[in-house]
Amino acid sequence: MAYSTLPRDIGLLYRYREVVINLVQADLKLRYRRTLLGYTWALLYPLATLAIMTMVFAKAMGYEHWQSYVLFVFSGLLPWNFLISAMWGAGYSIVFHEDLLKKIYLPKHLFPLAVTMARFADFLFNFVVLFLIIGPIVHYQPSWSLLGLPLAILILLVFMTGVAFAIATLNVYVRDTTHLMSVIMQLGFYLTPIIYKANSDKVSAKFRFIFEINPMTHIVRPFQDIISDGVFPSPDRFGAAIGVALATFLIGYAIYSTLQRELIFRL
Amino acid sequence: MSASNCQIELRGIGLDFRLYKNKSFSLREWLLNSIAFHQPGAELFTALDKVSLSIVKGERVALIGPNGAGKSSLLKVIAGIYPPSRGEMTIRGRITPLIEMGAGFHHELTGRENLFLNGAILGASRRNIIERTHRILEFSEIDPQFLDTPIKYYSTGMRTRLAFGIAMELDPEIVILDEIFSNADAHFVQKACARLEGSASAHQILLLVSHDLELIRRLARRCIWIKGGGIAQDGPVDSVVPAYEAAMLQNGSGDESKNA
Repeated sequence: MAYSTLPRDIGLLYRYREVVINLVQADLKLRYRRTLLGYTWALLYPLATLAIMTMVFAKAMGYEHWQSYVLFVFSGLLPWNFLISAMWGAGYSIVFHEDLLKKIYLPKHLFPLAVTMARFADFLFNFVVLFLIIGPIVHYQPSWSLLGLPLAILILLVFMTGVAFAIATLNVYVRDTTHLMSVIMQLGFYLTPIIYKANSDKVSAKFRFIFEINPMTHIVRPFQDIISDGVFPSPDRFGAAIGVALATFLIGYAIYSTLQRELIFRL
Repeated sequence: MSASNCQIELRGIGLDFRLYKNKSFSLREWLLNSIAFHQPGAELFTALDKVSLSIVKGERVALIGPNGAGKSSLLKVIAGIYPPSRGEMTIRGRITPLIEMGAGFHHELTGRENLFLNGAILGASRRNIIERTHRILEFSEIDPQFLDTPIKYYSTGMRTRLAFGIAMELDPEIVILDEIFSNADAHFVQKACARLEGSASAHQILLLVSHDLELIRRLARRCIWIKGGGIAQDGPVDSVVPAYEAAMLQNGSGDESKNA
């Protein structure tokens, strides 16, 4: 079975943890080395997106106060940006280390995991800093619902790990994978309620089923509940998100474990 | 880690490569192939067949053979890089593969950062590396002022020396060398050989591939002649190397044994 190798792979991850730590550190260091603005770049992109989205859509979406629209977009956009950047990184993570993998044995799953962790660190940092910048501007009132945030973030990470396993593996075989992924994500951005609400009267009721079958909706929703609506996600919401994340992880890992032995011959 | 049980044992190892015309076929090619009922590049090439050998602690073994005989494939199977297609193997001991010097180096990272990364890949902890940084630099003859310079500005020789230094200072148990001295100057080759002779003590296994028969005579005691993916001869260097040389000259491909 595809999952019989799971304990072994976890053991390998522990044994090679220092490699993962070094890869994550290298990734974070090199991303902004030799740049003048350094880490500011990571903040400028989401800030610019938020500003433009608000200018263009706040009125159109029927928001009276642009502040609450900013908060709504923020809560969906940040997890989304994390998924995009981690997918790109994970897609090329094994292919990129081809030279190394042909000269020394290393478990292949270290690479998608290291990229995911590096982008996850970016995400957490961005999330906190942007929240601190935006919060006062939009008069954010902290609420108890924030206690649900760690679980929402954990779900996001489990989901992304599954995706990372799948695309890192498949991209070794078919280099179309990352191209396909970017098309899906480009379209997915508009098919996921991030810049509009799922129950908005701007969306025709007969298309709402798309949100329900779109896994991203379920991953992003708890964030929107907690930050934008200030409510603790209902057990249904969390349940759906956990279900989507676990299923994605299991599928992604199954793809990896089935193909991992042959990966080296395909590089 | 105890190095007293180093052992390499191969029983009937075989390795097949599938020959792909284009290893990573794209979706379009795959669809075209499926429509035409072609298996995408399913041609098999047997690189190793029925290789059985046993190497115990303290042995220093050289693999010789013409290009394409399967020497590097065998090293890569032993190093765990290629999973064998057939047969069984038992490897005891931590393997330090120097299949290409500096393979674990990340060119944008500094020398120090690469020390940590490369050390981690070879199984050493961060603290272990910090403690040994001085000795590694000394052996590699790299001026500490270059430690925080990205490694892409190092000369090829510096990179080779650094990689070798890291590998040697981290108490390797099974050392695998594949034609590594091509970038190093004569002085460093002498030093590295002296180090290998000294350190490949009773605890370690040294396994090397080289076309340099002088180097083999110096570093190895046992020699395995690989031919067509199998073992042609296995015995003391003094008997296998002359037999190999004679065979190469007879075949008119004597240049094999003379290069390097």
